[in-house]
Amino acid sequence: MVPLSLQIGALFRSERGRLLRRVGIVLKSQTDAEDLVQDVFVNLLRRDAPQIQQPRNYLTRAATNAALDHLRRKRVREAVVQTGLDPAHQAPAPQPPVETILQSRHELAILRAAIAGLPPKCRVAFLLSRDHGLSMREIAGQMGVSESTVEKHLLKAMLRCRAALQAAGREF
Amino acid sequence: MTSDRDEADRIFAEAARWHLRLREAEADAHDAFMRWIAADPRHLPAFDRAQALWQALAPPAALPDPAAIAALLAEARPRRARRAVLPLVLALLAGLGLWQGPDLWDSLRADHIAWTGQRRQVTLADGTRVDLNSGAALAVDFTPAERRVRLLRGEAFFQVAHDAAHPFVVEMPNGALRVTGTSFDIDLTPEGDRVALVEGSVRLLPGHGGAGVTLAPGQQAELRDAGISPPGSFDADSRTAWRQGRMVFYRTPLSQVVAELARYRRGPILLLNDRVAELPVTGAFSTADPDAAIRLIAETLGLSTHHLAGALTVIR
Repeated sequence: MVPLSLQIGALFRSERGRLLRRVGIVLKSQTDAEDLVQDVFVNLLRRDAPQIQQPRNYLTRAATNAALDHLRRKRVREAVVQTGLDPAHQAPAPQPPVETILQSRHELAILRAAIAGLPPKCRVAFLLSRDHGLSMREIAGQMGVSESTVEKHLLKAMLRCRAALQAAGREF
Repeated sequence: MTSDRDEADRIFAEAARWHLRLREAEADAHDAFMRWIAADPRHLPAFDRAQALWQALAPPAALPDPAAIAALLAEARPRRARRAVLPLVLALLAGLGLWQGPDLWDSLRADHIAWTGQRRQVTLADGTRVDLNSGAALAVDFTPAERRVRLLRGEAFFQVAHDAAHPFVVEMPNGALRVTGTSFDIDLTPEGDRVALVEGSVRLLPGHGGAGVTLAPGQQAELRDAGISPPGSFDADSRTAWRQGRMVFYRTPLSQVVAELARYRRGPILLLNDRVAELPVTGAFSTADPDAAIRLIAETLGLSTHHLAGALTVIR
């Protein structure tokens, strides 16, 4: 097995340009994009080598997430400039404390009813994804349908659940 | 306005589709996704809402279960077989009257006992403070040479008063530990005597002789019949939450959660469904109302609970 630091050197040479172009689509500033991509590689180096199975997939994901975070922070700053409010009041809500992770029974009952009411194939595709973590490709293979059909099933399940929650006053 | 609403719904549906695509392990659509995000300032908030919705829909992800997957796939086919219901098993279990009270012999030997549902703090003659969790029993045998106690049952948290001249020794079913002054938790479990060190240093000694193990703060290890497990780390907050009357679980398998809940109530809890034993549970619950915790967890995971013969609770 090649040490991760060497792999990262090779990845940096082969992937940097691709990632720069991608994050450049949302970041606009070249300097911001370069800083961000550099951070993504530095973070990869800090991680424990054996934990990352697919460094290229990891980089792809990390770069996308970093770009979205950058965008979210920028929006917050812009909102602050516009309103003159303290950033603390504008920051996205922190993770809920462990006590509130469990949802209200009411909400769960609504969701269970919505899921139970889905058409059978739609429900099965959704449960295979949600409860068993199967990918859309795996679900398609298991159910003998195309991936785009699975995507339609999952999307329908999400939208139905959203509508059910909205009807009960919870917005998404 | 209706058209605004329609527009918001349309954007949300797009966002949800992106969420589903990017969840795939080898997603190659990141460039197109970036372009979508950049195209409209409403797209990123919609994407965040789609992810939040998925979080709300998804119980902590379980491991793929082939049998359950097969059952689900069978349901997707047009003709499906009816499932047989198993009330007979429940009736049998109820008839057995499995529950035994706290071990009477331990209680007779103990100097300090916390009955089921109780939590007690005791101060020993040397100033050492011991928190006893529900169902714990402790015997004290101080001698001029050393401070010796025996944890007979359950879980206890020790804050040992410092006294280098008189070592503090805790005997457990599978061994003992020796300290001078320190804080640690001991939980006697069916798998072994679990020692978690919060501060100071402890020396674990296996029951049948052999090499001991020294724990550093933040480490825990189990004394077992076969020897001492390799030390690992533990989460101090969740491990000692019982001292504040709370149980904290983070992605803990349901079977372990049920074992922990059983400590705080008189009747046993049976998990009838092996398939759900590994389902991870996250949450904080009061030790004062384990039944409420059982109901909430079962409801969250979509399981049903049955109370039988007064005390026995069955989850399936």
